[in-house]
Formats: sequence, structure tokens, C-alpha cells
Amino acid sequence: MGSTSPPAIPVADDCKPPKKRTTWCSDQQSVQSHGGISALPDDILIKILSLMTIREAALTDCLSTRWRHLWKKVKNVILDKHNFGMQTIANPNIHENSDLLNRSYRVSASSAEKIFISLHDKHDIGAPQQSEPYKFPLKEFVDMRDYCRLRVLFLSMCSLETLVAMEVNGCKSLISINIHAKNLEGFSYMSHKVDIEYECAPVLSELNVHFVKRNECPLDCIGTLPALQTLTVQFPSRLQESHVLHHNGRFTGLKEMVLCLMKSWGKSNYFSGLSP
Amino acid sequence: MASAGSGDEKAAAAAMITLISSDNEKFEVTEATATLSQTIRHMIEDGCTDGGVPLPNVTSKILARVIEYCKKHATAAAGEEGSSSSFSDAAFLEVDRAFLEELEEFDDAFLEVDRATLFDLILAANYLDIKGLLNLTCQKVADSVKGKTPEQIREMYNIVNDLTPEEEAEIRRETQWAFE
Repeated sequence: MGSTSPPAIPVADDCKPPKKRTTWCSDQQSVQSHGGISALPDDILIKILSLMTIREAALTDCLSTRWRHLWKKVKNVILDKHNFGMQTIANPNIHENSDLLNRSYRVSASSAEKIFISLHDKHDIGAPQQSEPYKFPLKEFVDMRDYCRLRVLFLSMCSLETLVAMEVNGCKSLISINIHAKNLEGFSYMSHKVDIEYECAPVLSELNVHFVKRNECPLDCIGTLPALQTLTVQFPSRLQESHVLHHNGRFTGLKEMVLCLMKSWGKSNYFSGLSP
Repeated sequence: MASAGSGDEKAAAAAMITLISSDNEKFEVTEATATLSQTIRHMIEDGCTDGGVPLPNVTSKILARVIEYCKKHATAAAGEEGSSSSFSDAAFLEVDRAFLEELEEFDDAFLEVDRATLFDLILAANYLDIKGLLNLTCQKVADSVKGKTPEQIREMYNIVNDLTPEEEAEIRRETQWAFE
């Protein structure tokens, strides 16, 4: 150690405290857990609960009085098949299970900033594929208008009211997306072709679309979006139809377009008519 | 080696930060490594790091592990700078795949610790505001709780059940949907 090193600086040093004071234990209490989960502060326990599905988190409410209300404060609400009553079979009749979902929502959505809806079961790859496609008109039983804290929704097949950004990835059985989101600014979709309906998306300005199957016409299902400024599209292969990118008034506000081509296209006239 | 000398030596030392654990052990790390901690980053910005950063809440045992994590991830962070998760980056991700896999292996091995150490790492990550480490360690705890019954969780983590049987029955009725 260098001889010029001053001794350990006492707390009374005239340094300004770190800006993020909350993370700096001002009382200098020892940060040691002594091996127990109970030594963790509430905000960390809530963070841990935020990493599970809301159903798994809710199961901790009867651990002790301290745990009773912790799970209701999670910031990220993760919903899986269980929340939809779909754990055993593909059940297209979601309405039967709406009460189940409603209850888990009602208790958790007040603190939710992000909702992840995943009906894609990672642990269930060997199981038979769902034969019937299903629709999720989530709007019918979840009214998001009260839940204005929500900023981000990662969902498979739903339509919600108050969103700012949305991502839809890898939903094999998805047949339609219905977006009714007045505040939606960004939307990402990655999967096969579906019908994306923009019932109401007046301020949508960024759109990412990544199709995984060949010969799908990406833009046909994108709809009409006057406020769109940035469009990113990834094509897995050459398209059959050459007219898909032709301008027909859809993207009047478009300022930037990014195309990711997995294979080279035979022709180069696909961009005609696009706004510069 | 780390002496705040003069001339050339001083310039080289400027990028190094000395962290001092609760048991007064000194750790010399690069600024890139140290600034994975938002807490330390703010201190550097405020010019409060001359003579070392005392971390009276973190033992040398835990601090050594935290620094191990930060060193590994500081290189990763440098590589990721400026990239986003947009689909247009898909092609570039390929290049980083090997490195990301290595990083994942490192994280897995890093988490092979006893519970007491894991909780101490969580507290240190929270205190130092190291987002990646906090997420990693919290995920480990979350994964250990998933799929367990309340009884199993209590036993695993020595949680004392201070609810009366009546209270517990009532709570279970409230969240019956979660048990179904």
C-alpha cells in the first residue's frame, strides 16, 4: 500500500453524499443477512417476488404476517397459463376463467408497472401442441384504465387500454392481435403472421416486426398507422409478392425504415413509392 | 503499486479506485469495474474517491466476490455499449454469442454459493446499486421459491410463521386461486 494513502475516511468526511441516497445505508448498519431471508429488506423481497409469476408470488402470502402483503406490491406482474386456467389443456373459452384472472389482477395491478403475459410454456415442449388456435380478448375482462402506472406490457395475445410500449414474441397459436391503446408509442412483434388490428393506436410511432416464417406478407397485416415514424421489419426470406412495400398511403409520417434481410432479394423495386 | 505517486504513475493510478471493506481490507479495481456500482459511480462523479472508498457494510469475503463479478461484467458492458435490443441487431448478436455464453457460465458458477453468502451478495448488490448482480442473485432466490409449498418455503428459509391458524386459513381463502 502506498505510504501516501490516507487512513480510512471517516463518515464525517466533507464529501457530498451519493446522489442516490436511498441505496446508501446512512445509518451504517451492517449489511449482513446472517443467513436468513427475513433479513432482506421489503423492497428486495418484493423484487424477488416480481421475478415469479403472480400466482407463485401470491403463494407466499401465508408464510408470515410480514409476507402477507408483500406480493401485492410487485412491479412486474407475470401471468402464465395458470392465471388463465390453461395449465392442463388449451382452453379457448377464456371467459370461464376470467374470474380467476380478475382476482389475480385486481390485487396486483395497482402496483404494476410492467405486465408480462406468457402463455408459451417453456417447460412443456414435449407436450402435444395445442390444436385449436385461441383468441384472447383480454379487454373484455381486464379494464386497464385504472392501472395507469403500467408502462410496458409484454404479452402474447391481448388487448389493453393504457399502454405505452408493447412487445409480442413467439406465440405459436396466436391468430389475432387487437390493439386498443391510446397511449401506445412502441410495438414489437416477433412470430408468424397474424392479423394485427389497430383499433385505436393514434400515437404509435415505432414499430418492429420480425417474421419467422417464409412467404409472409409482413405489411399487409400491419394496418394503417398515420403517426408511424420508425419501422423495422425483418424478413426471413424473399417474398413472393413484390407489391408488399408499395406505398399506398399507409405510412405517410414515416421518417425511418430499417429492413433486415436474411436472404438477398431477387428484385430491387420493392421500395418504390415510399416516402423518403 | 497503487500509491498515489507523481508524474506518470499518477496518471495511471487515476483510473484505479481503492475499495475498503468493513474489515479494512483494501481492493484495487479499475474505474470501469468500480462504476458497475451506481453508488461508487456517483462518488467518483462527486470526486469523493481519493484515498479509497470505505464500504463499512461489506465484508472482505463478500466484496471479493462482488469485485469478481464486476470485473467479468465490466468487459461485457464495454462490448454492449450502444447496442439495443431491437431486431435489427439480430445479425450482430451472433458475433457476441460465444462471449455471452461464457458470461452465462460464469454467472451460473458464481451463484454456486451457500444461502448465507447469497443473501449477503444481494444486500451488497443493493447497497452498491449493482443492477446486474442484484437481478442475478434475486433470480436465484426466486427460482428456489418457485414451485414450493408455503411449508417448504418456511422450512427452507427458516421463516417463523407468526400467523394464527385462523388468520392463515383466512389468507389461504383469499388467495385460493393461486393454489388451484
